[in-house]
Amino acid sequence: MSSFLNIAGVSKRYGDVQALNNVSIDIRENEFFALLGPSGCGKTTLLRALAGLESLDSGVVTLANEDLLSVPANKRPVNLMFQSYALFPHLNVYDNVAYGLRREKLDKTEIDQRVHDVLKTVALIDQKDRRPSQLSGGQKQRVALARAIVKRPKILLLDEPLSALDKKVRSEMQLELKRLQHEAGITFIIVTHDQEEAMSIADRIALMDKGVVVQIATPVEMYSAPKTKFVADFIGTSNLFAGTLGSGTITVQGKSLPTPVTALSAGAKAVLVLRPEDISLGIAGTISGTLVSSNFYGGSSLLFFDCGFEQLVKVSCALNQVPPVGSTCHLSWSASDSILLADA
Amino acid sequence: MALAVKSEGRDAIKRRALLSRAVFLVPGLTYITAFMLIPLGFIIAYTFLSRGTYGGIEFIFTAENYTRALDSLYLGVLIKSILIASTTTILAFLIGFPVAYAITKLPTNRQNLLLVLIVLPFWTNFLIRTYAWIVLLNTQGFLNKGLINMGVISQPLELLYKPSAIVLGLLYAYIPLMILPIYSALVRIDPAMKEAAINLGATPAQAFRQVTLPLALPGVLVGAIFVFVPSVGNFIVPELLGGGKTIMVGNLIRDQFLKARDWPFGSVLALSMVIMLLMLFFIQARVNRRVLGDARA
Amino acid sequence: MPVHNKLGWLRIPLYGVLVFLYLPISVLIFMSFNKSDSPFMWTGFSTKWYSVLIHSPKIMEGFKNTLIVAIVTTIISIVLGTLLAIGLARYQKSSALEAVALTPAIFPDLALAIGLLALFTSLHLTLGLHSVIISHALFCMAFVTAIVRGRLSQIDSSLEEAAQDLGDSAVGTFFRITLPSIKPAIIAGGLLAFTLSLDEFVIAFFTDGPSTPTLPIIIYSMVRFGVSPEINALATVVLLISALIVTIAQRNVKVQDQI
Repeated sequence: MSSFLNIAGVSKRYGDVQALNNVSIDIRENEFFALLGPSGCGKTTLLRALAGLESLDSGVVTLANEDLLSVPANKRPVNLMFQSYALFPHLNVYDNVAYGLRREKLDKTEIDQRVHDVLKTVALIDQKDRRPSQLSGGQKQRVALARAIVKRPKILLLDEPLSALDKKVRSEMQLELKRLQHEAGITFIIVTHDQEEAMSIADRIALMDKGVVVQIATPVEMYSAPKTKFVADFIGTSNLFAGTLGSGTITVQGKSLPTPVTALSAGAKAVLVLRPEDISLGIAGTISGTLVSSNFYGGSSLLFFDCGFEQLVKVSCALNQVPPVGSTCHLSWSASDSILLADA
Repeated sequence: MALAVKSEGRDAIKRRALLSRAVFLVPGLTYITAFMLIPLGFIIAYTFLSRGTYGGIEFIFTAENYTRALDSLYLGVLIKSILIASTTTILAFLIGFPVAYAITKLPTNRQNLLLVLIVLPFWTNFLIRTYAWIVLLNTQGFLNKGLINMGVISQPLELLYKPSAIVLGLLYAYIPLMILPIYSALVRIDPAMKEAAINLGATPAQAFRQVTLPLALPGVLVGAIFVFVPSVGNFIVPELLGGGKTIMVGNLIRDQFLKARDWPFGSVLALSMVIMLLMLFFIQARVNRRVLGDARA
Repeated sequence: MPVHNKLGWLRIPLYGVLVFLYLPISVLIFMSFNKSDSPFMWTGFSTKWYSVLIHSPKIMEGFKNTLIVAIVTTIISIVLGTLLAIGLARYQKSSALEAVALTPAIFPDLALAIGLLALFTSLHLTLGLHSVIISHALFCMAFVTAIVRGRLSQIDSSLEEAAQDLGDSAVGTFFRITLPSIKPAIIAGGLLAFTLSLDEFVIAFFTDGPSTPTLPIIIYSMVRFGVSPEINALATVVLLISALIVTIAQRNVKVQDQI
């Protein structure tokens, strides 16, 4: 697939803060793309710049090979679903959804048809005469979504779309968003700080930190082959051991741990990344430690071991195999399951 | 299971809650009842009673005070007062809205400075502020002297003592009360509202007209009430700047109580002002509910 | 970080309104230093009208009357208004009661004035400074209530709950937690009550006795019946006192938020 939305060398500065620093991303048509990162990483600035609500200092953005940045905000084939939803409180659901179509000066019957269709899609046809203040959080979210997609944009931007919803509604809406994206055939770009959400919903993720894109990858790649320590720490749960490389081992706080095959040379500073599910408990192991606490997470538990490191070692374990707190266990893993990254 | 601390019993706790509620609420509410609600009752009662020979009232029921208020002479005064107050209110809105809107566009610390500057004259002496216009607009005053010296006019202009001078004085006195509520309505609008309108294809002008303006409407109405109500009942500005030629309902009420000594008729006129205030608040509450929505509706 | 848009043509109404608001006052202050016997015609600089003020027993008497009214009114308004604000914020959340408590501030002053006059007359109460104080306290209290109520809604009521949870009594909580946290609002409310009373004319005009005129009543007769030349100096003093007090009040609470 060829590039659909091409963001090239985009930068933006607010006073002393470099919000976007030479950001380049290629997004494909019909892709569900996530901009992920901690707050202040620049993801929202980028989203708002795509919508035309924020100007950029430098860089080029093309949509289907046409310059996007020279198009005024109200003429861009790009619609944004606001984090606060920004539903017009003085208009009812129908008029909120019809607002954008009326600005296109479309024919009345067409507007009516399209509004009804989209309200059916988001299952809000019975609420069309209600005011936003009379809707639940999930319903408001669906109105905001309907209002944006009824315009049939080339790209739909979603700013933390699910953050205001409680956990149960959130997972339903994740499915709903995927279904809608599939049906409507629109490219979705979602901004989120929630890595679990990005992992479960997106085709590809761009992880950002301090205005810089750190890694662009599919969720699986990002989890299994993080490029930097920041990615490994941000995505999923992991044990990070910082130390100095030897040959085939890394020395972490006086202890020697085996490393996978690496291009890094001996003596270099490095971080060994070990996912909790890759560690197993047994009679013999690489390290041993005392079980300090165990946290129950549905099907499995996350165990915390004191193995003599500064930080506790996290191990995931099936429910029926959790040892009593205080017992000493041996922890083992295959060196090839671990990931070795250079430490800045 | 006994608690280590001595239990006071549920009744004692309830009694204490009731007592503290009474300590806080009763003095103020009693004061308001005694000196506002009861006097208001007096005014209403007076409207149905007869005028005493030496002022005051006599306890003879009559509806004549109301029929008298409908006399074309008094009705004319009432209509003129409403016209002057409405003109003032509309001008205050036309000037006040852009001012309030401009303030919202400033950085926060400058916003506060400007609000203080705008509200400061409002808290100073009303008589003096009105008198200041006489100093400025008098035939021998600053403006006329200046214009004559510049050769714009040869004879001093009579700027005072006409209805337009009353409107000017009322506008001067009450325009801060229009600017403040509009400002606070405007700053409370989520900036995402306007962005959403633009994102959905509206031009900035359309976004302003279709989103910002309707959402600021409750503030505009509060401002309109704050300007209209004290304007319609004012008797100082008509007297000082209107030169007594243009009598407004405020002057009429004052005269009924202090000169003509017809308290019942004065009460009818005063009650008409109170009723206007209540009607305006009712309208404002309805618009507020329509614009901002109400979960119960 | 929103970038503030350029003002553009909005500059014209913004600065225009400031000129409109301050031009008459400025001219008045300028004319108070006029040598001439006419308050309108400038002939030269002089501060003589200020010394005329100080040596006028009538004006000094009016000033004393006004101060008595304003001080007593402020004390009553602070006590009643603060109690009522706390009661409305913490003990009885009712929008109807709240409306009643704030009504004296927006009620037409003329209607309040004649209602009070009717009440005092039927009680056969001799009119004087005491009746002005009773009347002024009514609407000044509403302003204190509004400002303190506004402050209380910004303070988390869990502060007070925490104090009681930690073993403080209800009375102790009031004096140790509630009162200190609303102190700036009480000061601001008190200062505004003071200026409002100081400058109030309509209600005083109806409820004052003839032998104890307050300063606004004196000013009214000065501007209405033949303008006396010291009026500009008196007006300047009165304007500056109010402006000073309101500026101090602003430092405690953003007064414009309360309207």
